[in-house]
Amino acid sequence: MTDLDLILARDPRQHTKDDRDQIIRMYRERRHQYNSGPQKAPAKPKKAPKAKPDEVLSLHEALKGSLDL
Amino acid sequence: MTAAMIDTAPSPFDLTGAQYAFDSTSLSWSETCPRLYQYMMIEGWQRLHGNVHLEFGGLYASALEHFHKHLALGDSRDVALDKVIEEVLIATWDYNNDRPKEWDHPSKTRSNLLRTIVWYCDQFDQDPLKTVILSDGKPAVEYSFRFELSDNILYSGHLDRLVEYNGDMFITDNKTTTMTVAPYYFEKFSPNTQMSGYAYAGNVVFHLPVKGVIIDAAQIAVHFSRFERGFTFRTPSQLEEWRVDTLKHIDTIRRHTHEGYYPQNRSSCDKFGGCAFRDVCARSPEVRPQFLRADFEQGRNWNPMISR
Repeated sequence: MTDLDLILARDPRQHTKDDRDQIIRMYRERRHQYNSGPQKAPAKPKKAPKAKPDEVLSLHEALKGSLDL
Repeated sequence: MTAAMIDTAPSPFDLTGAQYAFDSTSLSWSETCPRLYQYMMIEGWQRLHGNVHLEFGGLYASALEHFHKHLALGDSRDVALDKVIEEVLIATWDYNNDRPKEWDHPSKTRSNLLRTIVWYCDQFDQDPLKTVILSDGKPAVEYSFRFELSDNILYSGHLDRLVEYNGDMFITDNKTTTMTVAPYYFEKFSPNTQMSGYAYAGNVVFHLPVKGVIIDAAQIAVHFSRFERGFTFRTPSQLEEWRVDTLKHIDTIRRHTHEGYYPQNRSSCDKFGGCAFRDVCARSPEVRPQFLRADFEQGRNWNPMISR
């Protein structure tokens, strides 16, 4: 059992802020190890593709008169 | 959601017995197969041991909504993360047996849920998506909605978050999967009932020109979590088409209820990894009740009128 497993096996109502800090730190270490390893690093957020100009109409313009919401 | 909220929620069925209040879940069941709709929505059958994917995905999405809410209300990232980790630790403790909850799944585990939340918050540390603050000063996070889709037909649901990105408005949604998230993963969201419903609702309830939905997908593997962000756009005319089609579809499913018969849609049986009721439907009609009771139980019926 790892240190992380031991903390997670305890009733969370008895956890302290330090316990949760440790949990977060240990998951961060695992992320660092994963990103440093041979696996592909997680992709960065992509830019949104641009909508075509005809898609930029206001919905309420388009729905005007068709809904009473 | 409290027990009181569940007990006091109005029925989604009208006096004729047909459903009048829909959400994306009940709508998707009815679109997939009327018989599936009968089992799930009308009769309330659920798998005996629950659905790990729904429970895991729900806890994950809820944690991230709360994270963004804490941030929008002024907490630092560290404080917001501490709050949601505490919340998830408590929500995933089995108090009857005094031990962590177990889901009997190789990667969707309690530890991997916590890992994915921590990794998500670090991955999107410099997130270009900004939570919209509404005119009443509240952040547009965790927003339950209900409105008339037409006379006497309601549409309800829950929006994770309204964000501004590059000057445009989007709804966000968080998904979890055990599969690798490649670009084709996001293609399934257009056309898609849930995403169109989110975009439509975003326009109606926020009175803002929402352009679509941003989907943050998390791949949950045994030893790692990996994230991809995808966009799905909806034009105003696509949304109006969704509204018209949805109402036509609701007419059909209400007619099935009035006629007391829900036909099988046999083209859907093998979709999405196979319908949960495929083994039941594969049996002769006279023995199906026994097979239903063997693998399913009748719990509280799904109710789109319950706000989260």
